Amino acid sequence: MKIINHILNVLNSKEAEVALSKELKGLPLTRNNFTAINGARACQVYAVDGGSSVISDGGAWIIAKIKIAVVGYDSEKKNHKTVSNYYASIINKNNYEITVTKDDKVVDLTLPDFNAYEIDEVPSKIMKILEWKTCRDLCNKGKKLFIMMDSPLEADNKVEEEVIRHVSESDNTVIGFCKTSRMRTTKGRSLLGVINGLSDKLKSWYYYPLYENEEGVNTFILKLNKISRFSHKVQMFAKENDFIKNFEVLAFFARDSETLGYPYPLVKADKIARITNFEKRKEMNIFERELKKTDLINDTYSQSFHAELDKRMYKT
Amino acid sequence: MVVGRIIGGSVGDKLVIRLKNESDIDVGDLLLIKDKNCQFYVKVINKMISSLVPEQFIEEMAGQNLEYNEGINLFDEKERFYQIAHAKILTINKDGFKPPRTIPSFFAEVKKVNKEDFKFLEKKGEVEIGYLRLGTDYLKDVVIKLPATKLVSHHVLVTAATGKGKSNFTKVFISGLLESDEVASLIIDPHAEYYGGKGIKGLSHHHNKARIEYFTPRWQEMIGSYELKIFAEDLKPTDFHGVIELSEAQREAMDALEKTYNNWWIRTLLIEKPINNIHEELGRKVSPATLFALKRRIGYTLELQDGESGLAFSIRKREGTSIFEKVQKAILEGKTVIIDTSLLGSEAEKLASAAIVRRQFGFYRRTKQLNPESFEKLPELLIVFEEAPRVLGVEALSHGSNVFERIAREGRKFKVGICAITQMPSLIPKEILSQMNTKILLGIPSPSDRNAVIESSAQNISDESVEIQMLDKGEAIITSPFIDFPLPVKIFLFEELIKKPAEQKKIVLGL
Repeated sequence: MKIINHILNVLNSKEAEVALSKELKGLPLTRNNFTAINGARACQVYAVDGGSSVISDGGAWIIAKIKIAVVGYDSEKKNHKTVSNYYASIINKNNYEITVTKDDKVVDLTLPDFNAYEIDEVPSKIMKILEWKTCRDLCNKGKKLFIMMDSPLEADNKVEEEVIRHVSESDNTVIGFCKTSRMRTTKGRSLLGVINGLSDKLKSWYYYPLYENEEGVNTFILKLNKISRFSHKVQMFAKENDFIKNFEVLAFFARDSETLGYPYPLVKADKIARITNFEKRKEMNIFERELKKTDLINDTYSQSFHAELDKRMYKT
Repeated sequence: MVVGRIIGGSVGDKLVIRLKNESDIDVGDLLLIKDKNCQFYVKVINKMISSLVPEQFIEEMAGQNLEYNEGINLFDEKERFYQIAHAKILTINKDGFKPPRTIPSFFAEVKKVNKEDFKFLEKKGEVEIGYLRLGTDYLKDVVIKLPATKLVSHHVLVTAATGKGKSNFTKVFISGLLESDEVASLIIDPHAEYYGGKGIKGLSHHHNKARIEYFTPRWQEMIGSYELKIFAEDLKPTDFHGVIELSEAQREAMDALEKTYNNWWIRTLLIEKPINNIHEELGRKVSPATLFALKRRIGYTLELQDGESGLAFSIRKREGTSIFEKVQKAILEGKTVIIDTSLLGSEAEKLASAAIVRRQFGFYRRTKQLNPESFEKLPELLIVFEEAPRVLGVEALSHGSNVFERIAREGRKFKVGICAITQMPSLIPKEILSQMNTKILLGIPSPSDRNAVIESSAQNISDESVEIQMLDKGEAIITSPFIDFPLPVKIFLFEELIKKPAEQKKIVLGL
């Protein structure tokens, strides 16, 4: 197909180095940076993940549901599970006015300025802050915990920065495990794809370093199972001095046959936190009923015409 | 013990149960659900494996293991891979037992049953036949009892493949009837297996053996038995109807012979007079050819070894009372009569049994019509016979109606019932199968035979087809209008049953 040939023509197959990321300079790619992960180590771990969905959309305001899940595993045995349900109202009055509730009580939450984002992007930003706050609460409760986060260890704003700093200074191991990545090489190829291609014959491995003079957080590319087609971007705080030990823990939890190469606790946390279409519809109905008691329901009609058309045209 | 929770279902179809891991549930198991102030008695009719993981990924996991030796490791295995059971509601207990018209709620607890849940069965009957079966296991504390008197005149079908325990059940059932004064039995025994003998445990080993009378050609070898001898002078032409194949002309000839020679019509035909003389004495109304054919046919059927007497029949003059009267006397006393036809040829056996049965049925009918007060005092009579299609099959009935068919259709009114035993119920016409209200099903591998009994059962057992196919030796499903739901039963082993004296047996059986 022409469109694929066009990409191939633009991209030079001879890769040079990792592209710049923020202010970090990428290093040339070399096979020497691979380290095999041969062991698998079980211990008590926790995984944190969140899910969000817009429940009511009044055009200038929205109500979103946010779920934060924490699961704990001692080897293969699940021994901890909590789900926190939040609702966020975001009102666009030039600046966003945001209220977050849990169990119908307002949550005391310091939030950064989200004005640069579209209103429907804000719930996921709040979700990320709630994920990190959950992680911080876990860190405050215990020591020597092993916590997997479903996001990079990078802050998007001052609030996150403060929480992540607190977490990094605790006596716990926190791993940022990314499902996907848009990291690239200087030639425009996917970094994960190119490194995966270089890694042949190795079973499980990590690739490091990627950047010059990384401080605070170290970035890795990781593949935890030889059969898996996927490699992942993983981050760890620089204070950790034994990477391989932590990767062996990840390798143990990435042995589940359904999702080989991806830590199962993160799969489980994702499943629990995810707001399914069924749950979303249920919440929408509840809120619609309540909104009908006010004239706010009229606001929602500004955003629901697509759905109305769909119903009429496609019988959905 | 909670073994699962309800996750779906409908009244008309089945319940869907998510089973707890390691819950030891098999097809055929009985389970109890307490919900909405009701007790739902349900039975597992199918069991399957299921998973939250989409099928294609399960296939991939198996493939990874097979192709790359990748171990199958599963976190939260019990949550993600589990068993589902399908169950049918047998009955609902809400201030009494009722047919299922509702279902339990989502997530209702499903529990294993225990003896307390089946206390109601204790009052159901008097003839103990086995334990309540739970899949392949059974509850030793719950003894199944059948209501004999109700059940007898409504007919019983015992059906199973060879070796599944038909004879054992019958012996156990008759043992139970021997404890009752209200029921007499007449057993036609073509394999000489019910009375017992050398090395074979039979009803003669029962503690109530005084209530058994055994008629056999081997009466001289069997202490306490009676001679099985039917004298031709006691046979009527109608005894042959539907038992042996006869042309219309032959039937008419028999009637003419009886009319002319009375009780001696057979003897006259077979040895006393030449055919030509008979032809003349019958006013030339019957052709010599017909008489010759009839002579051959009757002679063959009676199996007269020395020309005048055979194993079961004799054309000599009878001395003493006839076997028919002896059998009738025993029946009036509520006894069990066993007729050993094992040494007889097929037609002789059919004739002997039909003649004896016909006399008893005739007696009950006449008593009801002529002396209703005496009739009320008569015990219920159960006629037990094996290889039922030989007399009740479509082929057998094509030769004309016989006494067994008449009892199947009308016996109920006259307190006479049949217990038909067969491997091939599909050979019996549906309308007769439907008359047999109680069915004892002991493992039927043949689909056509299974369908025949399922379609003619008092209760809907179409969901039990797989279970009926898989039933092991001694395992039964009993359907009857006199029980609340199709009962899974582990039939007692007769040999074990008779080892225990009466009083001890009652203790062992938990009564």
